[in-house]
Amino acid sequence: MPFQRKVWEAFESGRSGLVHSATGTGKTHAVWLGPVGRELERMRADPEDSKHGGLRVLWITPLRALATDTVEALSEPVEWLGLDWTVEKRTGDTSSSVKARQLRKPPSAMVTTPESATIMLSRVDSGRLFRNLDLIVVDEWHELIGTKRGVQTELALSRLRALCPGVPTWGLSATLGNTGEAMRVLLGSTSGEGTLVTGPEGKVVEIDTVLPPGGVERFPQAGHLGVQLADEVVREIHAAGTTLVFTNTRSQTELWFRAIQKADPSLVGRVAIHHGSLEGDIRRRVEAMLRVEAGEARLKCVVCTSSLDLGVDFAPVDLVVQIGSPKGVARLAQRAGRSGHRPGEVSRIVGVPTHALELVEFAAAREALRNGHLEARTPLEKPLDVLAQHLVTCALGGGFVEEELLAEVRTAHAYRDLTGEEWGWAMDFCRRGGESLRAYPQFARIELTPSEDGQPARYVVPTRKLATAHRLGIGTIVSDEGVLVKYRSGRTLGSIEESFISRLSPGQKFIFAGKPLVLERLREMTAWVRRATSARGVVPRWNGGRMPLSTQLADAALALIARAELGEYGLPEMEAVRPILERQGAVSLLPGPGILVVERVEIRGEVHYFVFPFAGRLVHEGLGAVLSMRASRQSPVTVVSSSTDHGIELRCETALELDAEAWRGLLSPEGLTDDLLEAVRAAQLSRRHFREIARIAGLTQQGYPGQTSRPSYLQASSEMYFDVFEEFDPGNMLLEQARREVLESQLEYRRMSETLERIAGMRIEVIATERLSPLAFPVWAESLRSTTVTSESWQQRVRRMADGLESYAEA
Amino acid sequence: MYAPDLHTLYVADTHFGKPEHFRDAGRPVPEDVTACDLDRLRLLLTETGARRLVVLGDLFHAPVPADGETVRALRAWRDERTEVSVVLVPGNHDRRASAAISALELEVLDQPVDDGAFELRHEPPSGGASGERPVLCGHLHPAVRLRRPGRRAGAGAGMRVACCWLGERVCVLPAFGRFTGCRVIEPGARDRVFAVGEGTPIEVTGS
Repeated sequence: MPFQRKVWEAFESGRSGLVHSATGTGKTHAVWLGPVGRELERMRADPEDSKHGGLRVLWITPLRALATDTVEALSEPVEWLGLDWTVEKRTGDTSSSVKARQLRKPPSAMVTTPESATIMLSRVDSGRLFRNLDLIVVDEWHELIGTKRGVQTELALSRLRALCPGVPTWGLSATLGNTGEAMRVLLGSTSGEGTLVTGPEGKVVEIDTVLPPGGVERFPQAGHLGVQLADEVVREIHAAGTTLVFTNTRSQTELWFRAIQKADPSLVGRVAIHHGSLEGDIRRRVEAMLRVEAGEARLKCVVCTSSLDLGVDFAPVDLVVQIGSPKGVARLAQRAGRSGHRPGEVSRIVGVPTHALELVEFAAAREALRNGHLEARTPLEKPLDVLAQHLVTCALGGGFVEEELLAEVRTAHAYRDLTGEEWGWAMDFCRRGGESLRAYPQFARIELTPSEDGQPARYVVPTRKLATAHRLGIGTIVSDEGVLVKYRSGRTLGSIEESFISRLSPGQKFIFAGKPLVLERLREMTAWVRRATSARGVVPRWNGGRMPLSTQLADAALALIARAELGEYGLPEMEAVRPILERQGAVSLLPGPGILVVERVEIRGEVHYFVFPFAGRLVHEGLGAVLSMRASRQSPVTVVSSSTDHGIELRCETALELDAEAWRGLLSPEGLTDDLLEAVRAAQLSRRHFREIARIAGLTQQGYPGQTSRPSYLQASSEMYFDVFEEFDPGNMLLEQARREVLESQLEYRRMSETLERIAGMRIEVIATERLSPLAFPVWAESLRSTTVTSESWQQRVRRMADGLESYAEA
Repeated sequence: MYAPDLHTLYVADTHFGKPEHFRDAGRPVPEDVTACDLDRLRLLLTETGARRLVVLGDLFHAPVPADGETVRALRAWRDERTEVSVVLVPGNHDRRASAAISALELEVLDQPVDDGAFELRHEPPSGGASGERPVLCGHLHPAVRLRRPGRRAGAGAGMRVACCWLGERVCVLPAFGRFTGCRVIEPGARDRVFAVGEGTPIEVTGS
């Protein structure tokens, strides 16, 4: 097998690298057999040689649930080859007695998570534990890169390489749009050039789309909850052995879980639900039931969100269904990879559109995948909250000398350009609480110990109390702090957002964890519930980050629409959506790569403008704020904006006449940064975003399993910190980081400015339409959704408007 | 809140010492927070010309050492304002801070206190006001969530502001301390709510 040979040869010559392939098959053994083979040879050469004990391979995986499977996969060839190596896992679930034994007598290979690895590095004896490493493996690197967990992993790797110089690092990753960059980020600056190995040919991914049986005219034009195609989905579920039904939001998961059971009651008890707000126990039970035992899985189908995205090798299924927009090409391909277990088998994914335009998106995903247009995962740049956490970790792990650690941290890719000022600030933050000019008396998370015997002075953590608090807070995953949903018996079902539950009154019904519940009372951030008898109720909404449509997918969709304009439909999805696109062309224009369509329509005396940049929801949200601000600067009007993945709506209460030239001015890339910062300030976006930073930097602490209540004397919200810093320590760099993160990750600043640059070179067409065009309708519907409280009344209103739309088409 | 007839200024939940307690536990909170709270007290006493200051509980957040930053700052403030008598109606947090309280030589009263106009307490009485006088208290750190018209709840919507909550013969004062946090209340239909921030409180009942 050529790709495995490549890995072994590179490993033998001491190189590091990254193995990537479309879907994960066989990558694990390619890297594992390197050190195993070397050990076998060593044993053969000198059977008496027992110098090489201790921990030899550290295997980092992002998902706890994967650790067990990985241990099994790694143990198999070891036993088979008769090597006396032990393989063990060490995660947050490992008991403390096992953990203690592992430190006394380490296994030969350890499978662990980034968090557990960092906690080991916070031990005084970490140097001894890691000094014999032959190899470090980071599994599923594509899941970590671009996140703060990824940066935490980079820092842990920089430390490990300092403790064990020359140890090679190998990453395993799905193919990304920037695989080369992903490898450089993983290796940092001390692991040499690196070898990029393309893994085995991925399984062929087949994307099918469910076409609305009654034709697209009868199909909803907007929204993303629609369960109209439930019967078709049930048919697919029956045709396959086991099915994973992926949705884009937790609410959608709840809705589809009900819809599938309603469409076919015989499935009750064989369908399960899985999403991030459910209690860990419930999720783990579902994960276990998905595994095939004695040739049969106990479940027929699981409805889930990205909570089950991870772990391609873990519990494969026969069929994957994607409800709603695929959002990204790589994401769809990875989800598809969960299906088809036997080699040579095809990975099959069935797309289920929830409104008409998503038909185009599924066709576009297939086109983009065929052309290899995959998304990149952009690595993060020097987050100071993660650095502050790392400084304390290193102070605990035997202490550090400032200059040495600075040099070491700069070997991590994220901090390669760390300035002396930024480093100094992070050091001050840990030593004094903030820059030295401000008063933080008695504060010290790290302290300089006096030097002895000519050794340089080292920073250590002064008290045991601080050490314990820090170890508990290690990690960058900030869980949603919501209202717990509990039965009177005390059993917890999961958590729900306060903004949703506080609008319900006792006695009202809602659906959660797939169960109809009645709210009994809400006290102290706990919602006490009991089972409801009827199956009706409101479905909660979570304000979690909704993923935007990727550039690759949006471009592919625009290309398909441009072809449609020339009368080339061809693909079944495009044929299905044809009547809608033709109507759009008749009442307005079809958007395309070289033309920006702006529609103007009056509804009940209000002027609405619709712009279609096709740049994804996040960019549109930010752009909507900037456009509103710029428009209201020109004349005193109130402008409200709302957005979807395809377009932006601006609603003006007083008539605001904007021609193509005026639009060119509004959409100018000039001054974008300033305008956007002003909009961010006005909407207090960074204040809300500060929560995650406050947690990671150790300002606030989140609860941990087994802890019933937090020490109330130490409770403070991140917003309190934000306000206090803004008033008393405005130079605090964590505030600056919050602003930067809002621009980059919440609003996709880079993509936004690229979008405006692109628009600058496009033709702008402003078209007055009599009523909402088929493209404008979903954007308008989104703004309605954002103002009403329950989804039901929203649906009624939308349905009413949809009737109007249809009769307009007939006229 | 100031009662001109009694020349008395009432505040609740100052939570002094919270920044110090936090720093001690490895969380950086600027010391200026305490100074700022004291400055606001100074200003209010000067503006009103109050002769008496009543703290309706939770003067201190946590046990702070009697020779620490916070107590020293408070001591200095007391020494410059000897003409104002300071009275504490102790709150749940104060129980652990007896060393600091005795270091400041404050008058500590057993509640409920009848001060001629109000029945003073830290916590609102569970069954509502039962005595002769209306209750004045703190403890809850009340706040209300204000929504911009036409915006949905949750992300991007409105703001949370501290408030004074006027129920039937019970008045709950907002927390005075700058670094204390607050909790959104659910006012009854006949209650009145005043948003408290900069300048004059604004009535926001029914929003």
